[in-house]
Amino acid sequence: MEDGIAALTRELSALTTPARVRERRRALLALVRQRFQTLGQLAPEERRTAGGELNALKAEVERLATERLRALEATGVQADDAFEPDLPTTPARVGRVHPTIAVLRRVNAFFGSLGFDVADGPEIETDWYNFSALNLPADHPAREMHDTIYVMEPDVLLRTHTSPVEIHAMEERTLPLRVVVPGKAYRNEDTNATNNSMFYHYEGLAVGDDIQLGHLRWTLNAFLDYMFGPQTQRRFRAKYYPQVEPGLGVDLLCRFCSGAGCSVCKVKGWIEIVGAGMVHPNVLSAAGIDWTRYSGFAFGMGLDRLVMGATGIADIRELYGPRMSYVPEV
Amino acid sequence: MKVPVSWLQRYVEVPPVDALLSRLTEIGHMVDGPLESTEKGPVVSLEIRQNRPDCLSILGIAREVAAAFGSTVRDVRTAQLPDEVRHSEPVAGEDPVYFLRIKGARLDGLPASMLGDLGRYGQRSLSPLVDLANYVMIELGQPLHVYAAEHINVASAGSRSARSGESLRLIDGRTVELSEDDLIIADRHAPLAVAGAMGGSASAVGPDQRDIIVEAGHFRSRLVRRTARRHGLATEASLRKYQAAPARAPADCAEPLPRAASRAWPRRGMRCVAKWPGA
Repeated sequence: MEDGIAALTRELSALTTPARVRERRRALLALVRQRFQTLGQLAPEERRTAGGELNALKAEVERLATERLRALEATGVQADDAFEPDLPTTPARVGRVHPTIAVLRRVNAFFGSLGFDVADGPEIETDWYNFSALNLPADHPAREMHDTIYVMEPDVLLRTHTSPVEIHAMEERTLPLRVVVPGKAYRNEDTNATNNSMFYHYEGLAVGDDIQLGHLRWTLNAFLDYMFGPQTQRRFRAKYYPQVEPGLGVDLLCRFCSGAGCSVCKVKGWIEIVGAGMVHPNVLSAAGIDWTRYSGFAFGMGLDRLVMGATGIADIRELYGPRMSYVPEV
Repeated sequence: MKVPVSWLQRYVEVPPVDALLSRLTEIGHMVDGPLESTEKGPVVSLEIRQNRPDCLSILGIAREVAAAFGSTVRDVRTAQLPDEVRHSEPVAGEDPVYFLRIKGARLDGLPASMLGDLGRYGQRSLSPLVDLANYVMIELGQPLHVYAAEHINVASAGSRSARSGESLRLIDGRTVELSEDDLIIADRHAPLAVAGAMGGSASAVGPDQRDIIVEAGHFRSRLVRRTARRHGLATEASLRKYQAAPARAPADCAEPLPRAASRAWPRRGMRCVAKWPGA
């Protein structure tokens, strides 16, 4: 075994940078591994001897390399000295937070600062929690707005919004109550640039003594200031949702056309960003809360739309497609 | 819903379009499409939410405009109907139906002004009687269906659940297999129409039809919705019905048709000869 390898091993003690030591160690151990693989061709007697020698060599490489690295460390050789631009590398794929999660965390941070807790709940729901308890009894025409994916008709389904978690929260927690509910929701829709059968909803609920519309308005205004800047023009208008009364739609002036009407805002000049309102007494009752004593507000939004606004992605499918190159920094 | 401003003006004084749209949006009817301009004035597009099926008509929007701007809705009735029509009762039951017989309907086509209104709304012209029924539906929100009088036995007609095994050939050429969950209009012989959604081809009116039966029903919305879904019958009529457009007094249901017709053909003088069934 007295060959080039032995010389290369001895040279370990003379190398001048940690990087060179590590590189030499890697190369030597690779050679040792190769030789181990050839042992099978030898006669049993020779194999034992050669195997012993290889083990000794491996131990020697480790010992000398470790010694040398310690010595170099002790003399304070800097990492910069170790930089070797000609060393080959393998391209690394850097993982990062998905844009939806990044935006979700930003929104959570805001509502957290107002004392909202994050609530979570099942994605497979019952008809009661997804519809009936939310003032959408069977055969209510507003159910037409939800194209539902059923797991087991007619009672078990994939939630069409994250509102059922609000019912769970009202049942399980004590008042006063402030929660936000981010999560996935599902609808039986053909996928296109603006609709996906799976999407993220973000809802919020506050219930307690004397909660009023003004609290809702202040909260949403503060949120829009935080997300889009205080100079962003917005409007509050009446809009029906079965879960609330009165109900609000909140729009932002379309930033692509400044209200003139374009393809992004579908010629409306405004982009709807939040649906909200005062929780309907039927909903409070369904969750076991005395609506004559308590009141609450609720709001909901499509998180994907916020993400698309923040990232400039114009097609929702890019967010949940398989192509990593589509996933941008946020 | 598309609202031609010229049509709306028949019922209410319409403020400048910008003011109209921003006020309607504020009170819950959001503009949801581009403003179209026609030689008869603009056509606006509004999103009518599910709580306001009463606004799925020109008259309904006119009421909103009147309330929002403090004006009043004009009474545009032009024909005085016989008492027997005004005071008639519907075929009773959970899904009441009202039938009206009209004789001597000689209909060559709607006047250009009414056809223009239909076109601006987005409803294409099909045949004079159907156009007229559509006109009434869009203007007042009550879907009507028109039968050829000789193909319906009104005395025995009414709404009922279909029986399994029954089928009906529709005016669009398809044949639907009915089940007990379907609500239909039928006489003692056969099914005639899918209630609130689409009529059958056997009793459909042709261009030369003179005697007609007009049907106006008030059906349980969930039945219409389920039936329309099951058979893929999402029509203008079923949309209004399954959103539970508000009940109207029976005499208010079918009489707008002769009323509208008398406007269309003031000198032809269709006669409302009887209400059916009953007296």
